[in-house]
Amino acid sequence: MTKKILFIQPTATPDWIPDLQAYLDNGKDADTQVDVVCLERGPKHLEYHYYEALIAGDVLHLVKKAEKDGYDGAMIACFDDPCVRESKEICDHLVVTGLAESSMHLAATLGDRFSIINARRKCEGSFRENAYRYGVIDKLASIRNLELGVHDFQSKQELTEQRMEEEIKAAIYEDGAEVICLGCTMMFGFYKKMQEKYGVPVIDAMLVGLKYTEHLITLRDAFNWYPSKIGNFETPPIEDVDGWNLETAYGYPKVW
Amino acid sequence: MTRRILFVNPFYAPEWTDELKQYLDDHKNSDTETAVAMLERGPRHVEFHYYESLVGQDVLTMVKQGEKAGFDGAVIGCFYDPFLREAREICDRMVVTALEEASLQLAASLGANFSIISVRQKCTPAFRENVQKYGMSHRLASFRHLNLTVEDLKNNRKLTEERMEAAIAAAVQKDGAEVVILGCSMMLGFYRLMQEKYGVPVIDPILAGFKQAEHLVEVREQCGWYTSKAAHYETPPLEDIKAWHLSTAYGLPDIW
Repeated sequence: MTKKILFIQPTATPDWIPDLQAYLDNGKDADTQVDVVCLERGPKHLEYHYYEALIAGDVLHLVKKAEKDGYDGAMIACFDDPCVRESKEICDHLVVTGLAESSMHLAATLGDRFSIINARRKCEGSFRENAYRYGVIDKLASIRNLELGVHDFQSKQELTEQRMEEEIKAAIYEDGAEVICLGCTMMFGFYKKMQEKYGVPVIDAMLVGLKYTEHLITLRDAFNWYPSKIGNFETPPIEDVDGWNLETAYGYPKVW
Repeated sequence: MTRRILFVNPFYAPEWTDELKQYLDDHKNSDTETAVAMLERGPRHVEFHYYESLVGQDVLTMVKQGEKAGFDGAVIGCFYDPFLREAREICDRMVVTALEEASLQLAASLGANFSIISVRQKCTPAFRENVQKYGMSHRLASFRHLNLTVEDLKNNRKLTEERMEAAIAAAVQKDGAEVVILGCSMMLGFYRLMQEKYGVPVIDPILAGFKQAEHLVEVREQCGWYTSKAAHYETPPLEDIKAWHLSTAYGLPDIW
C-alpha cells in the first residue's frame, strides 16, 4: 500500500523545492509518495525563535489539512522541530515527525554518544532543550557550530565541507562522539562523503526524517501504535475550537 | 524612579482585566506602575499546545509594543511561560519575565525542594520540560494535580480550595515538599490561606513573576545587568524582517 507523506518546509523558500523533492525521491521506498511544500509567506530561515513563533499557525494548518486530505505522514523539515509537539496533539491518525527527534533517536541507537553539527551558536540552546525533551540528553557529546548560515550550505559547498570536516573531527576526537548528526535540513548531501572519511555514521537529517516517517506509518498500520492521547498529546476539544471561533479569529481555512 | 510593568495576558479573558490589575496594584512597590494587556482574540485558556501556538504572534506583538511604549518590564502571565524565550530575543531594553521561571527560582531559594500544583495531568510534561530548561530538575519534589478545568478554577472556589488542600497536603506530607508552587495564573488569591494552613511558603505565580520583573528592572538600572545577546537571545536582524516583509505578511502593527 502506498504511503503518502507531506514534507513541510517551514520557510518561504519555494526555490528550494525542486532540490528537496529530488533528494527525497531518491531516498524513499518504492511504495512511498512524497510531496514537498513550503510556506506561502514568512521568513526564509528559522534561526531566530521569533520567526518560529510567526510561522506556527501556517505550519499547523498545513499539517491538519494534510490529515484531512488523506496523507499518512507529515515531516516538519527543520532541526529545531518546530510545531512537532503541537502537531501530534492536533492529529488523530496522521504520523508527524521532526528531523531532530528522528536524528537523535537513531544516533542514540547507533553509538554511545553523538554530536550535532550546527549552523550557528545561536541555535545551540534550543537543540539542547530538544535533546532533553527526547530523553537523550545524556547521549549528547557536544554541539559543534560551523558559524555559517542556513543559506550558505548549498551555495558555498566547498567552504561548508571544509568547516564540516574541522568540526566533525573535533567532535569525534575531542568530544568523544561516536555518531554525528548534521543539524540542518540544508546540510543535505554531505553525509556520505563525511562518513566515508571519518568512519562513523553521519546522519542526514532529511533522510532520517523520511525513513522514520515511513517506519512509524508501518507501525501504525500494522499494530495501531500511535501517539498517546493521555496527557501531553491530548487533542483540544472541537467544541472549544469551534465555540471560540478560532479559525475565523486567525483567518485560517476550515481544517478542523 | 517609577518602574512601569506590563502584565501580558496570553489568552482571551477581557472580563478578567480589572481583577488582574487590582491584584497587581495590591502587591506592587510604591514606585511601580502597572498595566494589563489583554489579547483581543483567541482561546480562553492555553491548556493545549495548539492554542499556545495560535497566540504567539499576538503575545510577541504586545511585548514589543510594550517596549516601544516605554515599559520597563513585561510579565507573560501563564505558567507555561509561553514565548518567554522569543520575547527576550526581540527586546533590546525591556525586561521580560514569566510565571514558571520566576516561581521556580524563588522556590529554590526558599527551600530544598518544591512541588508544583497543576490543573490537570495534561500540563505536566510541558511544565517538567521547563523545570529542566531552567536547571531545576534536582529540586523538583513532585507534581500534584487538581483534576479540575480552568472553568472550575474561575467559578467554583470551594471545590478548588478542597482539591488544592488535598494536593498540597500530599505534596508536603508524602512527597516531602518544602515549598509549594501554584501552577496556574488562575489560582490567584489562594496562596495566603494555604500557606497559613500548611506552614510552608505557597507561591502565587503571578506575584512571583511580577516581583521578579520589578527586581530585574532594578538590577538593570543599578548594575546594568540585562539579557545576554551573545547567542540564545540574539535579536533578529531588522534588515531581514524588513526584506522579508514580515509585518505585511502577518498583518503586524508598527512594531519593527
